[in-house]
Amino acid sequence: MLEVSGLTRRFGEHTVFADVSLDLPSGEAVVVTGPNGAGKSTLLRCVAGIDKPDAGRISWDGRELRESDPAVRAALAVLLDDVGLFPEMSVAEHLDLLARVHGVADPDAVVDEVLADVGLTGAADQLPATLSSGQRQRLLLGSCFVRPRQVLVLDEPEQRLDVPGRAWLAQRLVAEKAAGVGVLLSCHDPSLVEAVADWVLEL
Amino acid sequence: MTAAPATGVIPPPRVVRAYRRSVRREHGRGVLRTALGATWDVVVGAAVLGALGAQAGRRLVHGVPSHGTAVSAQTASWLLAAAAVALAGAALRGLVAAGPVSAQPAAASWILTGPVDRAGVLAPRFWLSAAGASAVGAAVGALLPVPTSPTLAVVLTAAVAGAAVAAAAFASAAVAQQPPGRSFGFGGPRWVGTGLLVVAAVGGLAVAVAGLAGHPLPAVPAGPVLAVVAVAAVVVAAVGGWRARAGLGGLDRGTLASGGTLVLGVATSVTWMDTSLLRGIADERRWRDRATVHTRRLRGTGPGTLLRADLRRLGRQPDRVVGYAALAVVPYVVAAVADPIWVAVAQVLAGALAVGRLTAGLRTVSDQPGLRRMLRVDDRSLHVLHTALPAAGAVLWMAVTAPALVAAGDPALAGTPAAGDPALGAAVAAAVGALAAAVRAATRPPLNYGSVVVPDVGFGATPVGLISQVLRGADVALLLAGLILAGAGYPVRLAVATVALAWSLRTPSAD
Repeated sequence: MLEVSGLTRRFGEHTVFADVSLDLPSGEAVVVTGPNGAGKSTLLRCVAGIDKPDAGRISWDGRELRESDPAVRAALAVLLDDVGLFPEMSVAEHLDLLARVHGVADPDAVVDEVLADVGLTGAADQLPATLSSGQRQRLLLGSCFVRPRQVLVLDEPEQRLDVPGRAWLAQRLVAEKAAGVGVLLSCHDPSLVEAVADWVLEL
Repeated sequence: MTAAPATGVIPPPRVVRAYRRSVRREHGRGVLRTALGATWDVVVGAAVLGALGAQAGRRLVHGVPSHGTAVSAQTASWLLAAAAVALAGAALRGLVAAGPVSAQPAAASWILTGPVDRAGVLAPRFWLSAAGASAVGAAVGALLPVPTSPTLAVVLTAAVAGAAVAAAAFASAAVAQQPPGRSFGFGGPRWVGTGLLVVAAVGGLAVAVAGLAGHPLPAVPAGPVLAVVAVAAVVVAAVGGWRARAGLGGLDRGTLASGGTLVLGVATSVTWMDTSLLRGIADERRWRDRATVHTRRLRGTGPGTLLRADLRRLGRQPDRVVGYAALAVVPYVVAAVADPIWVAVAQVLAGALAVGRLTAGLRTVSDQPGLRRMLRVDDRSLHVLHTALPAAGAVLWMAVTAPALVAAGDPALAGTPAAGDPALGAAVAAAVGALAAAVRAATRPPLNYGSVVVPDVGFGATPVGLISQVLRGADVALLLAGLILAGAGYPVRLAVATVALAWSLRTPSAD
């Protein structure tokens, strides 16, 4: 289980958030909301181990969470704004590589399934540089779904998705919860919050 | 709300340019002062590098090799001719890749979106860029023959030929930039550039081998050759320039803005002596042009898959492999013209560049923490896995270039008592050194502009972090070259290279 206690982050004199605590059990979703600049992305970056909080503790399965720990990387599928892609690899090859590195049993079938799920079957051979922003977002979401995971950490995953895409995302996250995956996401879309959230943390 | 109706008067380009000049004057430095400042930076940099290059060339050519045979003037002049052809090919390819006619992103958004005569707006920049290319070509042309102590007439003819070739390359690339149907095809000049590079590499290798074997070479008829080249280039420049100018109005905004971004990247890279920004922009353009690939699934599972994926990605960049292989010519060329100790130096320096061509995967995982986070492997293992391919490349490169050292009678490889270096040990030290330099460069962290600054020593206050990051990789190669020149044995060089490699891989991107 992912546990956050007493988390505080400051940029100089400016306190972004203070004393934030949350628990994320399996199969539940915590949705972080708030206006622009409230600190949602910063909180998720701290939880994912990419930014260092000024105070507080983040633990995974009772141990302090270290982002570089292979066990943490195996458990947490994270989508923040710093995700990069190999410029020479096609959409399908990215998903194929991830599935294999994470030891998925039948990678070919899983990749085909995820490509269809995120609506990128027709773009399977495209290189990342040619993707639209919406397609890129779908590929990054696919990178979270093509691999085993216990927790999803998603920063505004609805961004750049079209209306049907947002509806699909809500259904997918509900399905993830039903499969026992914990979901921590920030978002601005009230319908997504309503569909997915078990707990809402407003910053 | 209603849009304001057009008055029917569209300002001519010169009015738009005059307005922009007046705004610049009002809000910042004047155009002339800005241009002079930029020109000064370029001139100082070019003068320093040119003088160093010419001096090194003269020393190489006129230094008496320790194996007793001074390089012949004929060999040196043929090698310089090959270098000139290579430079022309590289310039042509670079200009075609960049798209020489460009507009700054702001101008593309705020001026070229209007009904102002586009050709008129772009024309001054077009002619100025053509003149700049000619000036650079003239300078390079004048400097190239310097190592052979040429007459003033040859220097002047070479300068004219260099200017004409540069203008022709610029004009050809500008025509190629135009929409299909109005150009002679994007691929035309690019393939000409590639052909020139191949001719230069093959010719340079042939001259080097002939020189090493002691075969006499005829003298280069410099005067007539340069005159013919100059006349032909002037014709191409005139025809191409006329066609390019006529087609300026047909250039689309996307092409112009994209070129402007690249120019900005070039300027930033030159100013900070850091090519990462330029490389990123060029890669983006290259892969956008490629657009799709034939997807091939990998085999197996687990971390080893990363190694197979790295190899496959390299296969999609044949130019990197060609560059890696072409650099193997360098030690042979140096063996033909210089003292043997310089061959060992060239092997390490060119080896570092060659192996660096194979580090794209390592650079990608090092640059992108988000990508590393997606993979079920710790950072160190990720970097070690992506070092396997460059390591194999380093071993192969050293094996291929080792005969150059033997042919030159180099003590470092031949195991003479002077250096006491067994051949295999020296080769291993060179391979590890080249690998260490390439890996250190590929794992360079993002530029840190916020570090402690050193005082102004002529280039302004400069952050220490910037200096160390720009030199990262080159520092190892230069240190090893210095050790060779200082007569250090291979165990010392191997130890230094091993420490540098281990240091680079310990927690990459963290320092």
